[in-house]
Amino acid sequence: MTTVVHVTVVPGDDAPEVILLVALAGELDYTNAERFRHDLHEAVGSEPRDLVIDLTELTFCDSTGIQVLLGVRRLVQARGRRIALANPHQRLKRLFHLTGLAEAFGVQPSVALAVEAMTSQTPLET
Amino acid sequence: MTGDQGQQWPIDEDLSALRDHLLRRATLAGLRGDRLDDLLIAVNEAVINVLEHGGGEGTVTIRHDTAAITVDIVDSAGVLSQRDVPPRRPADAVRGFGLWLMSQLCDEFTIRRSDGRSRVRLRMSLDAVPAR
Repeated sequence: MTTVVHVTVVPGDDAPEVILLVALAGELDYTNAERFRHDLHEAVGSEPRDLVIDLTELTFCDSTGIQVLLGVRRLVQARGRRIALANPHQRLKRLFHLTGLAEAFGVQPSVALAVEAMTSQTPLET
Repeated sequence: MTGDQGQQWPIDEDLSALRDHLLRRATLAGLRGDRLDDLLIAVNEAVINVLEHGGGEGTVTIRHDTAAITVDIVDSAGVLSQRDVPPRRPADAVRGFGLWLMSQLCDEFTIRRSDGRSRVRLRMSLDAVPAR
């Protein structure tokens, strides 16, 4: 079986409290996308926060995985917050480009740059 | 049947193992870099189509010669046809999105129906990158 994608909430030492950092590890595909959707939404929780997803350890993603990422993007944006993807593998970059995900998300080469890009923007206060 | 270059696997939910097989075969055939990734993504999409819409059962056959690597994905539903391939990227990625991806990623992408099965053929040339 394709194993589950591990979803880890990274404690924010240097990241501001308003940014949630989630790290993914494994191979995301049709067989584990539903479980991943559940775990990711659980990690994101109900607080409106900006979200950075660290893709460093995600070695594969297919169209069903893309659907899950687009779903969480809708959720975060509906709360008036922002979402960024950090450090995707070359293989994922290619897929993100073709599927238009790269345009839909802010894709940054590292977590630090993703956090910086968010904090340097005008805060979305309501 | 497929000669010493061919190898066939049944489709099941162990997509990770199937991708490993494909990566190994395609690397042996000489495919590298983005083109290797493109074939991997395309074959994965074809296989999940079988799991989701194509009767859930089928086979993946990989073979290569000096000119190309060819992967056939055969389902047990026989419903899929070339007409199902969207000419443009679907706005919201649902049905047809994987098919559109396959059409973008490989040098050759054809669907043929016969005997109650559909066969997706994905092919990558092995000499496509000019060595200059």
